[in-house]
Amino acid sequence: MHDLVLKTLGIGDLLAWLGVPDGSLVYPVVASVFPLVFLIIFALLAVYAERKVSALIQNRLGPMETGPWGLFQTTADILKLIQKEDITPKAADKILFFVAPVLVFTGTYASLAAFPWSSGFVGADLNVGIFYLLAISSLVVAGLLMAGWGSNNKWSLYGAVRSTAQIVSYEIPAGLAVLTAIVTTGTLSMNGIIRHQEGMWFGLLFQSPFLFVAFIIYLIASLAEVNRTPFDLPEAESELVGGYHTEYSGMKFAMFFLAEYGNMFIVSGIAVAVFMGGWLTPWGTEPSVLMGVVWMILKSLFFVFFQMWLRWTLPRFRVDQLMYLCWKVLIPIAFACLIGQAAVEVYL
Amino acid sequence: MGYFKDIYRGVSSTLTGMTLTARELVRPDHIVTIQYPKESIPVPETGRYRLHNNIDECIGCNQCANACPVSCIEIKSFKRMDKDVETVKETQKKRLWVEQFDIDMSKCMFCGLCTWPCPTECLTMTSVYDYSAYDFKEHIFKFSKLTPAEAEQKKAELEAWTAEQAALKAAAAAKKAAEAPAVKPETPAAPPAEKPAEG
Repeated sequence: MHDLVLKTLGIGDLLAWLGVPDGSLVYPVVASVFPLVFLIIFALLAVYAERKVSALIQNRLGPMETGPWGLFQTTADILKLIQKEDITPKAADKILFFVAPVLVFTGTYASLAAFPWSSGFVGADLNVGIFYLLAISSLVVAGLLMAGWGSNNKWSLYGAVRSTAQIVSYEIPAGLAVLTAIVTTGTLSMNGIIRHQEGMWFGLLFQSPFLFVAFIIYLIASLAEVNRTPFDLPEAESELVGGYHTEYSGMKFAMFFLAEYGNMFIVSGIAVAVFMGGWLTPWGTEPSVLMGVVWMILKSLFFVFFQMWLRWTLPRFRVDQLMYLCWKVLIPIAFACLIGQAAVEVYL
Repeated sequence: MGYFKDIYRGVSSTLTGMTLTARELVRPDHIVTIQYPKESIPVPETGRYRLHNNIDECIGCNQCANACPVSCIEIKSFKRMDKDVETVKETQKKRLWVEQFDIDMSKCMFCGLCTWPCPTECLTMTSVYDYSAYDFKEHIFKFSKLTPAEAEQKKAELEAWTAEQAALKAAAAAKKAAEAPAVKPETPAAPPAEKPAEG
């Protein structure tokens, strides 16, 4: 993969120009660092965007002081977070407390390995790509549970228990919704799924009503998986102080934060890749590798915006409403969609 | 069926809400934030904020300090010499040197009662409200223009002048006393003269 990355992004030329020999370890290192850099920049801008979107929806202005229109506010925030003392509570489980943010971030970062940036630019185009993505992002649950248990704080534990219950439940409708699309595409490979959508306006989304409903279900379930409002029970500020990251500070808190925003991008990316044609243009032609990256990121950013928009519209669910929505509404409908789409594939 | 009705209501109310938030999102003219230090709401004409004393017109009558419910005004004054007495606002006479006129705005409760008795209307409430400070002491506003040295000098002058006046008075009294015998019998003589007239 890194050959292509390096070629498309011009990093290869740059490194060669700097005198780095072929086959050197520097190439893969640079290629793997790119998603990390992207993630950090994305998180900075997304936090800024989140605050601006929330402010404008509530008829406020949001950050305005640091830089023009407050553009450097999040940079300043991160610099502050890095300088902060890294506190470990006395009664905390030292090992779990330390491992949890690392594990959560690993889940996010590992997802980017199979993330289809563009036709020639996907970390590892696995033949089980989408399966890998759904599986690796579940690693987050383990991290959250560790954080909640390790903090030795009732709010943290409540948050962790809620998030585990929530994420594990909502993975079922999310998986079923993705499966509905896979019934059509006949492949689990990310680029395979996207290539199947060539020539379709907005990808699979408008190909059948089942796929459309499946897309909506995936959207809702993905919100729950990244703990966004209206499914932000695990970190409900008004009920649980801060949920699983109540006891975290400094760099470890920053890692949770980075992972949270990274996950927002990844679930949006999966929705885009599976239902909206990924890096294809909206009218279904194959763009150049670099333009593919642009389309992929643009489409994903739209859904990131959608998540923010929804967050500042809806209030939080109650725990029983959350479970009702998942088990009694989303899962039956997702099954209906799966069966319907399978029938369409077989008989039409 | 209640089940599908609920789903329909959920979806439609979400859509309604999202339309509303989207509409507000693109309405910059709806923004209500005032970026305070850069812009602020105009203070009403009758607003009562920081006190200001125009010391040039102040006659040091202490009425404001007496009126203050929280004793935040502290005035120290001493007499002026006759030649220093000035007239302000045509009718009021400045008979006192005001050596200290301190208003502790950290005590002030902004009732404005001090401004009413002021005979020269020199004590006013202004529209300045943003004067926060790190120390309470910075909230004591001093209005007196006399420096301690000047005050000492004026006091010394006053003492000298008072002594001089007293001396003059004494001299006058002595002079009177010297002239007295001629006059004195006249005065006590009058009442007895009247009494018989009455009686």
